[in-house]
Amino acid sequence: MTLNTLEFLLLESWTSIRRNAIISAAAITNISAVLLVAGIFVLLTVNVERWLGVQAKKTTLTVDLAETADAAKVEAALLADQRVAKTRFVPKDENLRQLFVRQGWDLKAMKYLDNPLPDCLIVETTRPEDVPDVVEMASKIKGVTAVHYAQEVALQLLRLIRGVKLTGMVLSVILALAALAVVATTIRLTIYARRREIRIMQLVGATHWFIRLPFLVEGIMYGFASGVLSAMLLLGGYAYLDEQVERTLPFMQLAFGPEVLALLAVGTVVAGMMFGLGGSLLATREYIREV
Amino acid sequence: MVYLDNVTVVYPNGTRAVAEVTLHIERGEFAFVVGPSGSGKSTLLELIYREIRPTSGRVIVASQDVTALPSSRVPFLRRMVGVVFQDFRLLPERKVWENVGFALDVVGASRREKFRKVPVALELVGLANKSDAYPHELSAGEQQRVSIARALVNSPQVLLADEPTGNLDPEISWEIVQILADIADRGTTVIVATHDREIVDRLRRRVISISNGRIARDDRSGGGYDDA
Ligand SMILES: Nc1ncnc2c1ncn2[C@@H]1O[C@H](COP(=O)(O)OP(=O)(O)OP(=O)(O)O)[C@@H](O)[C@H]1O
Ligand SMILES: [Mg+2]
Repeated sequence: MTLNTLEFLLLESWTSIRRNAIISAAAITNISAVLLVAGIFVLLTVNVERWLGVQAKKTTLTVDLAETADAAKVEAALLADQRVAKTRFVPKDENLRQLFVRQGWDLKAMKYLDNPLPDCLIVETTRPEDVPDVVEMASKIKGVTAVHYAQEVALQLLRLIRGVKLTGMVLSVILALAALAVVATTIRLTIYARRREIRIMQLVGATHWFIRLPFLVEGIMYGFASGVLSAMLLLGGYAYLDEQVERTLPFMQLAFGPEVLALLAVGTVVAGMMFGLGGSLLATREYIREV
Repeated sequence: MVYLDNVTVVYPNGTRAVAEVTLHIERGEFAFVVGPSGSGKSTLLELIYREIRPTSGRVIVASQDVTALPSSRVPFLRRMVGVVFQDFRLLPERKVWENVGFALDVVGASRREKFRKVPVALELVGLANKSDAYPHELSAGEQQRVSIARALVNSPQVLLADEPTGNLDPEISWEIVQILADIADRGTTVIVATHDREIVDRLRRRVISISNGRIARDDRSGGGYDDA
């Protein structure tokens, strides 16, 4: 390709964009919205999922014992199960002390309190996925009043997140189709505006792809602009959120380091360009009649 | 250079625009195609630049069977076959020399090639002094010359003109036809579809007369519009 050709193609694309400034802006806004929604879903679900995944990997459960229960018998019953790795007895006074420590209360106040807590057994399962079964097994043992486990909430949330993710994916697909349609419509308008030029190109012997190329470049430019715009919004939003989370939920760390975020930004821009290219491919195939 | 072998064109609506035409036009020859409106002149030219394919028969241009040409090869045929229309088809927002250069831009020519070839083409049609004007600043005859320059700038072997003088005064028409005849004398095959009786009678070149898609008369020796 000669320099003259390159200049010609870029100039053609640019003229198009300039002439249809409003439509171009609409196209860019629309693609940006799609990329933003998709990006937010990725950031949100990956982070929450990662945190919940850590919780769900925990193999510990707590078995509350009745006043009258024989701790040793319950322990023996538990250990008889293959899935249980080990157990540890925690008397109710120790439980209360731990509660005081956790809550930061004055330990001296402990002795004025009639301890409402039960004795417990801390049970470790061999594998995290055994936890729910062991919970069921343990709760049937005589002398056990209740079983708690950290997974409980995490698993429920995880199920919820899967639902959110599915919704996000479906929504992204719909929005992606909308973005393609918007790019295609925009390019179609440019094609219409330049039909005389296209006709002349065909008559003087421009190849089909040469005629399509400026429109493809135009589409890619829309996609690129949208990608940059939404990457900036995404990263800005994420940085803000990171700060908020650090302040209010110190135990929950956001999952992404700078490299991953850079990758996400590049991914957003590339995705935008793909939408732009896809939409303009569709439009040019449809509306530039092959000679 | 241009050879039609028993060519028939039937449009999808059933119109038989060209019927069993066999025709041979030599390299460097100048030929008028004349006939009443709807007789099939434009259709005949469209066959040559592969705007349409014949329903039956073969069309051969510069030793290539255009009938069998795949779509991807058509642009390369078009670079050998320049086309000029009644309505000039210039780009209004481009200057004269840009309009001519456009035909080079879109076939991937270099800037150097453009600066070399555009002035030559403009010189050929006598418009060297108007190269920086916009089309709307030109007379109709001048605009038609720009479109001829554009058709010539790629040095085609065949130049087709469909009613090139349809929008022009008799005097200007005569100038345009003379330019076209000059081009033929330089070795380009020129085919002009027209119902401009005056220019045909005055130029005295080959006249192919068609009616209802058939060749009614082919006067190779230089005829008038309706010599019997
Ligand atoms: N695309 C088309 N579809 C159907 N019929 C067509 C088409 N183009 C031309 N025709 C018909 O084919 C016949 C020949 O048309 P053509 O345009 O070749 O005539 P022409 O000699 O160029 O006429 P004119 O002098 O008016 O330009 C006419 O009857 C016309 O109506
Ligand atoms: Mg016609």
